[in-house]
Amino acid sequence: MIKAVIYVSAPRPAVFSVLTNYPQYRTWLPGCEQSEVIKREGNTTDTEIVIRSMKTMRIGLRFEASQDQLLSFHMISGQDMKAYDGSYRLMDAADGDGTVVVAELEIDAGPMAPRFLVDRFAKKAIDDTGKALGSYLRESARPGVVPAARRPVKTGRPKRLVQLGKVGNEYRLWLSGRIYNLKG
Amino acid sequence: MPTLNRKSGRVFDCEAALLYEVLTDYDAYAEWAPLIGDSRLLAREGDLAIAELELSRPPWRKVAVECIQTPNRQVLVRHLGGDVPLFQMEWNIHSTGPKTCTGELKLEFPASFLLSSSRGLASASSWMEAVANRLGAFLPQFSILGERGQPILELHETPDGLVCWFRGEKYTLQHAESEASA
Repeated sequence: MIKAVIYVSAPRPAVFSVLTNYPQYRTWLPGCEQSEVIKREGNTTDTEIVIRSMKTMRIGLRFEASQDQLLSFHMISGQDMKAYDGSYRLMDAADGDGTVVVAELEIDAGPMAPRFLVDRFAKKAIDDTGKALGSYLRESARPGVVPAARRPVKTGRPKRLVQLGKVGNEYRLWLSGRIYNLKG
Repeated sequence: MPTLNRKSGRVFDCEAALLYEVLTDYDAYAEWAPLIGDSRLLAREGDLAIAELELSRPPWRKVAVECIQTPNRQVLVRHLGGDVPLFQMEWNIHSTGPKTCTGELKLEFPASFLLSSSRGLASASSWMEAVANRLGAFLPQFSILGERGQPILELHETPDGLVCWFRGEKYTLQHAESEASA
């Protein structure tokens, strides 16, 4: 299982909206030539996606969506791979402006494909998807809509910043948790 | 690939909540944690946090971690992705009194980690020592000088502003702008 963290400077609903707009995958998802919804039932959507990578692959993916929080997918049809499963978990970024996406991807390309190569491919797929998602959202951002910044409030606990003293012929400095010995 | 463990434990003269607070202040890891040159909290939701740590040696190597928190009891830091090999830190906190607690750290990493340039992260005792020094920021009685040391300067950040002790005398520091306008 390959995992990665993607920061997208867009609000969470906007990110989720793009991730769940399956027919539009061909406009932003790297290598995606075709993306079609086959069946939709509640929060579950079956799609068929054609990806051109080292070769052209046709994959049936089932997506399960939890509004603005989690999008998971797993392969339901396809001849080029044995498994293609993963998820995107969305969280509000601590900077108050964007969204943090925790992406997971597991690929089983069969016994003939070396594991390290498959993992490298999966890592690249996640990284490329993250960059493309960020670019797509930046380009489609509506002007004038600026999300209100939310900054975390630090607790009011008093904090020592510096302690300096002399021990014998040496000065000893404590600075925010690190100790330095200073020789005269 | 075999997995190695390193463990360390210590008694701290502080409440469990303070140790937990230090371990979950991911923005501040760069101020005290071994080999961490920069750190920032990326997201926090309930008892799950995502943080990014950048190493100071070798520089510019980053790792994203997921941190699963059980308030005042446990902090589990797990590798999510990045330039550093897989590792996991498990902190367990046990309250032993109103002002004392024990902290136990268990590090897990693949054997190959010891051959990497990030191997300094794999010293549980270094992490434990670093936490003890960091706790000094919040403990009034903390001192690195011992019985024979002579204190010269201390600077504290308080809700009311900066407070300085210089050779035993206390000073309250005023913001320069407010001084100029007075």
